[in-house]
Amino acid sequence: MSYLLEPKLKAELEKLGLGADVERVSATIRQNYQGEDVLAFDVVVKDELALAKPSRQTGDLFTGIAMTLRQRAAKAGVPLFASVNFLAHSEATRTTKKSA
Amino acid sequence: MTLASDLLDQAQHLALVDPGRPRQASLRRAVSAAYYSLFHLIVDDAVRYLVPTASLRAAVARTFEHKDVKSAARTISEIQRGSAPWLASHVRLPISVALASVCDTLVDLHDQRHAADYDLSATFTRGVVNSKLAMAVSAHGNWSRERRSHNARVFMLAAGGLLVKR
Repeated sequence: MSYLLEPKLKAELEKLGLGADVERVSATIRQNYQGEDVLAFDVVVKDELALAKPSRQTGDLFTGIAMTLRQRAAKAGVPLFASVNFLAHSEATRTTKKSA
Repeated sequence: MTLASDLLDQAQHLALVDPGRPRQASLRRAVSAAYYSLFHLIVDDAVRYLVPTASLRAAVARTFEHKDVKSAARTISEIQRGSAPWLASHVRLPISVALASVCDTLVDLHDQRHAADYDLSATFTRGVVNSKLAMAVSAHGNWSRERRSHNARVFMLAAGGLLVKR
């Protein structure tokens, strides 16, 4: 069973202020393959960042954003592990199902 | 070159192998290879730390369970974010952001690896996969800085099932 995030909490988790490359954040609760609830952040970023060849520089940037979102969730009292997925702007509308 | 770095290179190669529309098979294998690169990076260091006899290390490495490594990683991350699970009494606070990010990336890649290998309803995009690989590259770099720290050693001991909840 999955749960819905309370609207005020969801808004808090999805606020921006994560840098100029981040266009949108959505937070949902999904289940991972073990049936555990996971707080899943989908972060839409500019194509030139998401579609760039993977590098230490982009990795550090993504990692920093993911850490910020996990700290945000912890401060909001969400006890779940936060999975953070970065989607390219052009891919975001085409993706219909994401894994936890 | 180590197995871990070769797997990371392979993951990057697979992610870029189809320049146009990427095949799901390539993207899925890229995610899987990225997870295994990080898993073997940590297990390799753990057995070097734990086992002085080089000829025995491969056998000891085989005893590391994915679920134990994931559980240890998740616990280290929870401590860094202010929780106090059982492992907290063994670490020296604060847990560095670098070590916590390695642990977070490992937990995330573990779940993604399972989806990549078994969940046929999941769709992987190049952007998602590139970002996972970039975070794996970052985790390799952060681990090289952290691997000799006290807290990294606590993590490795827990990952090997040598520190357990009483």
